Amino acid sequence: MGSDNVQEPVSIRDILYRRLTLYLAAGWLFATVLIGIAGAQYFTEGLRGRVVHFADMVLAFETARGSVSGQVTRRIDNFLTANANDIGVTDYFVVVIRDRAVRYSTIDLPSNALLALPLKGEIKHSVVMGGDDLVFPLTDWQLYGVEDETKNVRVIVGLWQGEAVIGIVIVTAFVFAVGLIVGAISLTLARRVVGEVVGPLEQSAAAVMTRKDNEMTPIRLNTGLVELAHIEDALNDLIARLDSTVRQERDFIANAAHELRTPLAAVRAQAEAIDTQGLTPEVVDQINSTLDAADRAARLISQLLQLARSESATVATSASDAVDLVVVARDLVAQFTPQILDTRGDIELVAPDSVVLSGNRELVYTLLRNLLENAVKYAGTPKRIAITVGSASGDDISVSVEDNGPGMHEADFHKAFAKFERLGRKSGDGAGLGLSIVKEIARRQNLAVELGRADRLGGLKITVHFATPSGTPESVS
Amino acid sequence: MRILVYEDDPAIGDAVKRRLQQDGYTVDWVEEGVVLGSAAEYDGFTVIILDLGLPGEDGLTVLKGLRALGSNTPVLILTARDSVEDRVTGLDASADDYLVKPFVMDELLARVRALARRKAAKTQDVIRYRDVEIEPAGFVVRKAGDAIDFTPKLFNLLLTLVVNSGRVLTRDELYERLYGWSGEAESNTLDVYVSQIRRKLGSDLIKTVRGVGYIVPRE
Repeated sequence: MGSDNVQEPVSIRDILYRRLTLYLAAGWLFATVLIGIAGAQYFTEGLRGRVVHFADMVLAFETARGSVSGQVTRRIDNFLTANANDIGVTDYFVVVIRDRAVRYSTIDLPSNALLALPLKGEIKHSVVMGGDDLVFPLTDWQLYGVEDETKNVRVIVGLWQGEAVIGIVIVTAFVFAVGLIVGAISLTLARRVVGEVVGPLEQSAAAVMTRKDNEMTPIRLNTGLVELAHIEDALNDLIARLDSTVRQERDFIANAAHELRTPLAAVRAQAEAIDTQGLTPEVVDQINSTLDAADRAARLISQLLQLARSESATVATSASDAVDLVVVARDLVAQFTPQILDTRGDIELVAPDSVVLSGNRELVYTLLRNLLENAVKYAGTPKRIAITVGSASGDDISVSVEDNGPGMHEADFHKAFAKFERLGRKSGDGAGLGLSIVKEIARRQNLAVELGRADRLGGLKITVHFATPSGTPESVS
Repeated sequence: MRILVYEDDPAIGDAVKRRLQQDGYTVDWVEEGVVLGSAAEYDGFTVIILDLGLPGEDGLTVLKGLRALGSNTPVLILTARDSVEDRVTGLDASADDYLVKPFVMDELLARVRALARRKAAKTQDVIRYRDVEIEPAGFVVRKAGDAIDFTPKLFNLLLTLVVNSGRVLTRDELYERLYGWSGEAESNTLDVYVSQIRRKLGSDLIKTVRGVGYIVPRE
């Protein structure tokens, strides 16, 4: 499987928010622009209609009047006052031209300018007004003129476009504001919905993340979501398959280790049964090399078996026994004593009568056994080893194993737990797995392991910190 | 002394048989799990070396079978199974010792000698350890041929330790095994008696394993 195209993962929350915000903003702008354009159309059309109607009305009034007479201004004023409001015209000007002379004008412009006004079009206020007394600086005047050629009357009216502009601005602003509110509400609701979906996802992720890596029981997400229940099923299926694979692998190792022991015992026993009397020293050396090699192989097999067993002990059962560390330590010291005495060495246990904790017996046993084996391997001549069980400070239950070997430089401490790492010496039958087994068990049981110098014996001191007497083991560091 | 060896692996069986013969034992080697007919047949042997994974009856079944017949002959389990559980199961089934394959031949021989002493103690034979002779029947202890006075309590302690030579006996074990000592577990009686034995037989005989108990080192 190529992994070249692996994408940087993106948060669902981000995707949903970002997309939603984008779509809402686009829709909102689109609606605003659309409504703005439609409004502009509507208002300008209305304005045009009114200006035509107004001009026609004034022309009809003026032509109906017949001949020229006095009081023109007063009568048109009255007419305009009476009718302008009716047709919705508020800001306007009216110019009446009869027989090429200005008869009436509501704006203050020279006669020749009034006579030059076009019949239709828009007039910039600067042209028409020539001043800055208009209310709305950006607006133009919508101009419309009509002419009765038989009576030689021409009427030109102008309506201020500002009305239309204000209308457009108000409508657009309204749409804008409504869009803003709708958008805000949508995003808030979306946040909730997204939360309802993403929340359980995140909880599920946390539930999966916080599992111990040896926990093979089915996951229970309890989110109440069908889609997540499917994921849960898929995960549990995967866990079950992993579990069975791991078990098969462990069983295989255990069986293989077990099966390997018998032929190895045969090699060893046969080599030892050789009557060395009358053999040359070279042949005796060869026999001893054979024995050494068999011992190394046996040790390696034993450690592999312990590793496999420590895994199965943690995975297969969560059962914890009441383990008395002192009993375990005594038993182990008793087992190691004969070989220590063979080298005229000394081994001692410093412990109270009993220190009970709940844990897995097999693992505690394997852990301490490997600590002791390591000490035996590296101790000086004669071998001196001390094991201390106790609560150094308060609740901290610990077991320390020290030896009189060369010890270890602090710089090498981190290497101590690496598999197949043998520091300093080449001798000994260890395969270099012992301390990595210690580390493995400590990791699985959440115990802290500490390396240091043995004050009294001068060599290495390894301390394993267990938990309080009653509680389950907890991590100390 | 006769040793019965249950071992299905020909190479191991052959090697064990030859080494035991070199050390002067008579060896009967059985290659499959069969329970003999009577306790008397088993009691003819000094020690039984028993493999657990046998064709036919499994080693534990053989062990239970011979105990059911009433034989007390010491049994040493020799097996490739090394878990704590297997060991406990074996010892619970009244095996006297447990050795894991692959094993060091000298270790096997030392343990056989220790079990032979245990058998001797049961059958009231003379027990020899270095230059010390112990006669269980007559409460007699001799060092380099000279008889040395022992009180019954001291004698029993010495006998227990010598019979179990090569094995550490914890203080609890010693108090349990020594009849009539149960009330004295709190005191330092044990240490006092051990130092008395040392004065009589030399300080090398019994080693102290601090925090655990005492051991008579293997020969």
